[in-house]
Amino acid sequence: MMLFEKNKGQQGRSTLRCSIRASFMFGLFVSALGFSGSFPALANSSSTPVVESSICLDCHDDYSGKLEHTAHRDALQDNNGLSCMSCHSGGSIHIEDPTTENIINPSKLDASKQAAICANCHRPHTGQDNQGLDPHLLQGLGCADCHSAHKGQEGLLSSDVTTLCSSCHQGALLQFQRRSNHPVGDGVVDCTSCHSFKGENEPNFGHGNSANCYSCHPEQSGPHLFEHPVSISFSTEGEGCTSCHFPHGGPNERLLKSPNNNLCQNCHGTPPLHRSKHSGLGAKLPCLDCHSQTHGSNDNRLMLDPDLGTKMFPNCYQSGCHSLGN
Amino acid sequence: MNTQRIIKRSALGILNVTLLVSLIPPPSKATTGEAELKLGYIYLDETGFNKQQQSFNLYEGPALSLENLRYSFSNGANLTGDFKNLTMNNRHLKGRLYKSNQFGLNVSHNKYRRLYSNNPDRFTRRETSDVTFWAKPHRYLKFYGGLGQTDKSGEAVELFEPGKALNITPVDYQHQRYHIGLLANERGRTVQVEFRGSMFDNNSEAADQRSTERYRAITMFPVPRYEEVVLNGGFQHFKNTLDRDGLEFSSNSAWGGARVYFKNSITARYSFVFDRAQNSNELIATDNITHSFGLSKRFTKAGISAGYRKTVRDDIDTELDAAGVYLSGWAKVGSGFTLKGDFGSETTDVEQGSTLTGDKDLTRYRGSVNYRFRDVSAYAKFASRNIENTDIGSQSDYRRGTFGVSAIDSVYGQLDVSYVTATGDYQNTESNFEFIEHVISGDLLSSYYHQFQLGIGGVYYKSDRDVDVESISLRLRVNYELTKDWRLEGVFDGRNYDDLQNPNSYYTANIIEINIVKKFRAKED
Repeated sequence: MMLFEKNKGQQGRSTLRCSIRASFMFGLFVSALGFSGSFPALANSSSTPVVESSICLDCHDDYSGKLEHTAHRDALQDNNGLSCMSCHSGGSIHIEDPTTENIINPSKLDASKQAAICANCHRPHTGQDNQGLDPHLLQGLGCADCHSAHKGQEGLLSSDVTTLCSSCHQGALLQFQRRSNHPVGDGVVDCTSCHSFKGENEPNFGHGNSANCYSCHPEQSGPHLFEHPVSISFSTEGEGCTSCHFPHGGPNERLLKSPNNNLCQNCHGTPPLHRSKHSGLGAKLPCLDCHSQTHGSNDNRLMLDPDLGTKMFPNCYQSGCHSLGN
Repeated sequence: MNTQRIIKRSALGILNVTLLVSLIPPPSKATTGEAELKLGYIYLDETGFNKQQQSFNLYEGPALSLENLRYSFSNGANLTGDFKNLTMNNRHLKGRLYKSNQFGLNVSHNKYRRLYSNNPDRFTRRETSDVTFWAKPHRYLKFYGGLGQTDKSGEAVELFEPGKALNITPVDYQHQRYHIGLLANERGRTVQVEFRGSMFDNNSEAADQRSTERYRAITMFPVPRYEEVVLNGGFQHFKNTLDRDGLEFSSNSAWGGARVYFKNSITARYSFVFDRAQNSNELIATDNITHSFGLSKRFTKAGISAGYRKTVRDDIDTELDAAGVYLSGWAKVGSGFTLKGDFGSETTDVEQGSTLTGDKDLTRYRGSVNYRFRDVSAYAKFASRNIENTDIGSQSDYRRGTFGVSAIDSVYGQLDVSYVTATGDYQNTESNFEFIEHVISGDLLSSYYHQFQLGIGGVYYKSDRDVDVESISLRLRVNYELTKDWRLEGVFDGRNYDDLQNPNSYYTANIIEINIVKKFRAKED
């Protein structure tokens, strides 16, 4: 099933532009409906909490400003079933004797208890790749370690994504300082560009371990008539893109794990025919000079550059190996 | 034709304006919000070649930005935005309009330039636009979708240059993406269906047009009357087609699993994945089958997990069997220490047929100590990974140590200092590659004192042994508060890069950025 008729470029792109515009207009339409309140109200919107939020705000008046710009804003006025008591149970006792001991503060609970409170409204982080697991929760990290329920950025994160992730994954952040790296420092990509927490916002469009890479590097994705098996996640020969590339940053160009021929020789060694003078390494050439189609070829099984005849030396003397003599 | 186009565009324009106007609430309703408008100039003084630098995405000239936009309407809707360098070719724009539990609309646009060689005229430019939306017509129902397009054009340079001549590759493609999905979720019971697709038009290589489709359905739910048992499962069909020849890669995947929560905070897990992938150019398919088991126990201030994974990869000619184990744990010790450690090992054997790389052994272990006392934290971490292919005499070793300290003081400011060292050793029967890297980074930002705020930071990178690269960057910041809503910013960024094995590869830059910032606040009635 194709949503758009693919017509060699122009019509397809024009159709896509209309679709982008239609999508934007749809969003505005939805917004207008939202402003006019035409969507059905959530369940329990008319239920009254044990202690109304306005009573909490009599003492904790600073939270009014903090919550104002967040998705938990509804708690300020007990709208849509959300109130201070939704998370901080024990309020009826607390208003009689306001101490920290007789009210629940989710950020002070252990990770699983935090998750249970948040799960009343929010899906846990259990994307398809995790198959029902949350690795952060297994390490004792709770929701409050990354999210700030009363303030914060998009997704109620306590800081921007890169700063937040690198507060624990310092080694990963410093890999982006290496010789070649993904542009995290520029803000062009951040951790969630590749590492997904929620199923509906997954960036990947491919298959297997390399799915994320093809989202931004589709020119390498294939399929090809002749595949380089190491670059394919499902093959018996390799693990996909990370077989050769560091995902964050590396000491060589193009995020390669090792340079020049060492990378190829890790799997291929030096094929016997390449030890002769007039081929391959015998001519002291890097593997990629000839076998440039490392991600797969539509021309030949050996991944040779399709323009090899014209790119290489037009005659023996320009190679530097033979001379006419003086 | 032109008249029709004018009428159509006018109609669309009127409709867009009408919808935008409908977003503006009546003046009698209260709103709150803030934003920062930044106007500045970037001055670049560069020497050398910046193909390895992130500064290849910087431009000299005036820059206008609208940042930290946060606007709340009285009816609960929120508008946020960050629009950086609106006037420049490296603009980075993000906007979001949402109303909690009702709808959301995200729009983003980014332009990015990249250099591949020492010739600054050879570069590619990538322009990406995305629109995503979601709506919740009911508390338990959410539908979502999005569209996106990436245009990349310019000239790239191949990594290795045959005959020592610069090999330039023209790049000109469009990559269009779209997705739509439906999610039903009620207190841990989830059903989700999604379609995702893309089209790739390569104008440099017409025969390279491609398209992908992915259909996915997943579910997760506790067993009725046995809520401590949670089941999950899903199915996915993926297809990638090369339009020229109708060449197609397709896969069908199914997965499932269960979690059981026992008493005393013990959790047991099982999951399986079955995937069959096939390239239409070949008659055989490859099956990937994975079974994994896990057990974890949580204590008051500690936790431990262990697991086992079995994977079979079979394409009839060749069968690989992999078996792996992992063990991890964490503990809070004393009044601020957290210890963590994990170990993993996997052995892959060629049970049938042969592969280029033969059997493989992978071992990884990590450990860390974190200390936190109020607003001061320190950490030390160690990670090691070893991969061996004994049949072909290939081995890789990678080790990394990370140390750091950070402190926040409301009076004086904040400090972050870190050091990481990494070593890599890649050996095979033909050659070796070794490197050792050091990265030192620090950042000190003071609090405001007499309207002044100062910051100093930098990164030092050194790579040695078979690579000899040194890179330094130093960053100085000055902020001066003219008034409560006006601020002057100055940034000096000095950079130096040297590839000592390649004298032609060096770079020095002095980058100065001066901005005047006006903070806007919406007053609440």
